[in-house]
This record gives sequence, structure tokens and C-alpha cells, in this order.
Amino acid sequence: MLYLSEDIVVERISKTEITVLSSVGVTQGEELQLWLHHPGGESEAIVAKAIERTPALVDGMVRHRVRLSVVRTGEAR
Amino acid sequence: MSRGWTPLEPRRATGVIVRRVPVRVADISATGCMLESGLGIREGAVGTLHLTVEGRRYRETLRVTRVTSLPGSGRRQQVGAQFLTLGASRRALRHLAASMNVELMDGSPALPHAAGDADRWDGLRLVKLDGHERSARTVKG
Repeated sequence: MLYLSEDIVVERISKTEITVLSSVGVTQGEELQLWLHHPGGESEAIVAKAIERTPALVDGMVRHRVRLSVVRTGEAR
Repeated sequence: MSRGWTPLEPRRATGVIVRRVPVRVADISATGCMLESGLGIREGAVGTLHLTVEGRRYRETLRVTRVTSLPGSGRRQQVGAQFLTLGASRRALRHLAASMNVELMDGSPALPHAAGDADRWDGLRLVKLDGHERSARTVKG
């Protein structure tokens, strides 16, 4: 099994959903592991499922806006 | 979801997503490997390859250096990757590959595989280089 890592920027976050910007697209229904890092040094681990992906233009670059449904927290490897 | 979990502020929050990609190992050496996958992988991507060889788990960090489409196989890609020498763990895959030869098993199906075979690894085995001894180890993902 191959585990590929990609940097993301978090746009919106709630207890049930997270919207991120990513340079790579993910497949709808794909389950992902996330590590979120905050400016204050805090971090959290989340397992989420991709529910929607739309293209987005950010600073002149095409990115993927991915809406994720939180499956569980604190269990990312 | 955990009870009582309060998400942190999204402002300027960054992070990393980790995609779990089923792959088939087509070839492997001490410096890199050739994989096949049905999911989109881009050149320059970094990650960790996990393999089980005779019940023992190995891992190796890698960078994708080349991606080509497999003709006539839909979305399947052939992915070339270079191992990154970030550590010297006993479980490093490159150390195992360095001590063994790689050969295709007799009767292994010709490439490319159907999408449903993405997790199969039985087309590859590692053969130990101990004089005339040839102890094969089948690789599983």
C-alpha cells in the first residue's frame, strides 16, 4: 500500500465537515487521513471522507477545493 | 467522531492529507521501484510504501519521479519512484531489495492488470543472493 502526503490549507471547519484547498484532487468517497496544524502550535488528527471536489483558482493557480466529512478524530496514523 | 471534540479555528490553519493508494509493485531495487495504480498519482508526490515480505512489514519513503499511462488499461498508470534515504531502519525496504534479486514469478499475468487486481502482488518475488541458494520471498501489500 502506498501512502501519499499532500499539503493543504483549511478554508472552513466544523465538527462534521472540513473544506480544504489541495493541489491534488481526490476521489469522491475516498477516505483520507488529515493532520491539521494551527498557528498556535496546536494540531489535530482526523479521518475524513471526501464528499465533493470542485476546481478553484488560487493566486493564479488551479487548486482543488475538497469538502470532507469527518469520520473520526484522534486516530490518524 | 469523538465526543466533545471542538475543532480549532480554521484561520491560517494548514495541514497534510494522506491518501491511501492501492498499488501493484512491478519492479523494485535498492534505489527505487516501479508501481502500477488505478488512482491518479502526480509526479513529485511524496509518500511511504508499505510492503509485507514473509509476514514482516517493511516501509520506505519515496518520491514519484515519472508517471505514464498504461495503454489500453483505462486509468491505470505506471509510476516510477525514487527511494528517499531519510533513515536506516532495519525495516527499510531498500536494504532488503539491495540484498536480493527481483524476478517475475512463473505464470504471473502479463501487464497491465485489471483494476480489480490492484492489490495483488503475486507477480513479483525477491530472490536471495546467497551463493547458489535461491530462497524466494513473495512480496505482499
